[in-house]
Amino acid sequence: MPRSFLLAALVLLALGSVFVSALFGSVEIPVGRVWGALAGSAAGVDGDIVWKLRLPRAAAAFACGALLAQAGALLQVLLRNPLADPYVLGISGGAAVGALGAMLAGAGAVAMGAGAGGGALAVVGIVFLLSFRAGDWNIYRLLLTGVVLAAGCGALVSLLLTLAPEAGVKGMLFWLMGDLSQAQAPLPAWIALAALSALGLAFAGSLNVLALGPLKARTLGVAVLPLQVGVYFTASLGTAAAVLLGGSIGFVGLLVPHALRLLGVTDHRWLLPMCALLGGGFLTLADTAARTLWAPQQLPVGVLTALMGVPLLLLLLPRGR
Amino acid sequence: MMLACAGLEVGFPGRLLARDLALEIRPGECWGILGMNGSGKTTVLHTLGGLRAPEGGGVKLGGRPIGGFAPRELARELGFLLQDEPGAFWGSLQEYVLLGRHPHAHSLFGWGADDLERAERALGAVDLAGLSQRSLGTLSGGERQRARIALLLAQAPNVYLLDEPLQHLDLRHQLEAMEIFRGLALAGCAVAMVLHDTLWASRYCDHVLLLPGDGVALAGPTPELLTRGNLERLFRCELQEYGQGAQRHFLPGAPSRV
Repeated sequence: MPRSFLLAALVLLALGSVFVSALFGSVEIPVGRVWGALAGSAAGVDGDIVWKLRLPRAAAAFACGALLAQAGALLQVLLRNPLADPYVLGISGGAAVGALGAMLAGAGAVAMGAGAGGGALAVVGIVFLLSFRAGDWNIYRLLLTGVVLAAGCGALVSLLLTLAPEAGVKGMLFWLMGDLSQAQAPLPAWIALAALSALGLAFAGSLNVLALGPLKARTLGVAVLPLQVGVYFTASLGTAAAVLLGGSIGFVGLLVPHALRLLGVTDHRWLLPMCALLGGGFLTLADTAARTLWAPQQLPVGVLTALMGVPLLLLLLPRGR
Repeated sequence: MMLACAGLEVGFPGRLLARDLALEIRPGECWGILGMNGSGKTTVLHTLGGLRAPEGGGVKLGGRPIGGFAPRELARELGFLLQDEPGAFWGSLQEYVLLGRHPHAHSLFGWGADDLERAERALGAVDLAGLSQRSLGTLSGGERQRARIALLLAQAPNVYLLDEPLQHLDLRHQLEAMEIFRGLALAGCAVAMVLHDTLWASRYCDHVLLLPGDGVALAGPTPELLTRGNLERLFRCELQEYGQGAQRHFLPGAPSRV
């Protein structure tokens, strides 16, 4: 499939996902009135529902998905491991410990966000400090350090769940499975997305070469260590921004880059922007399904990303070259 | 552009593989590097290419210390064929070979017509023109080795450092590869390559570097150094000598403990 055609299709998917998100919800609004609200001509309840509830939620979902998909693609090439996803280095684990710790202490939403952010950033810093050696950053040491810390965080999360009162466990499980129902302030995630997208594009040409291995990349003029450090912090902070907004939404960061590669997109100058569009569109659609399938009850979106993603990837796998 | 070193010490803490090495690999010259497994051929080549720091001495490219080059600037002047490439490349053969143009790339998106043309020409030179849209991962070991040579040709540097360029290649493609390298030297490039077969060294290399692994390397014109005595000491086995001049080659007899 020509890349320009695929790019156009992904732009349509992204726009379509936002429209679908504005169209569906627990309150039924006819298509014409949703159009009217989007065009600014419908005031009142319809306009409020579309502009104050559904679109902020769609914006949050889109930013989260775009961040996770790009971070996944970046980490897969940094770690030279196709199984890498944004959470492989323990960032979501650190955020979960912080968030669940705050929940257990009975703190409010702001403290919970601060706990999640603190936990994520602490893991980013600890993994870097433990694995980095100037002049020789062994990527396998980085991966192992991250995996070990993620396992430690997993144990702490289990402990917190065990200690939590029964009434609080459901909220914790929602957070762990990924949940956008509390995500009403997507602006920081969009700022992170803009930064990650710009940096990713700046890295993209060199990332193509880094896929040949660090030594070969050096012989082709890539300053490997600064690139690796840049990619690590860009992907990590992008992941942290997504986790702060929507918890540990799984599968997007693993599925989306591979789906695009299976469609023949391997050049990171195309892959990263396409990851943003497909990841954002995919999570927006999944989130719309999460809040409408069992309405008024909301499902954790992380469950739906896996339920929608697994068959999609299994369908694409036989197409792989 | 000349690649030169003086007083070069190459090795690891506790083991010196080459001591006080002085070389001048000039434009138009083709050097063969020979030695037993573990004698330091790759380590010397990496040191000459600026991929590892020497234990002592220094390497100069075009009269400038090699460490003073910016990464892209160095890659435009000096190309390296590594022995192993443990990366995970998911793209097509054409996309792979185009990565050789990375040091010359100036646009964020896509490649220029010149880049595409050079990549196609490089694929044609290594007999892979018809496979350019195939995934790199589906190629055989020999085809992949030729693809790596094509990437280097697309890179188009002035100095070529080749670590076992003939590995995985059948006889015909070994011959074609050596003809390519000779053509590069004739076009004014400096070429140095690690070889195991003395026939290729005697036929295509005007200079050789013999690395016995004890620190005392021999470097000089092929006719003077590629002798039965030197090679028997180098490979620690008896050799039979056949042919003369550029057709000279050596076949092993009984191993010795010399």
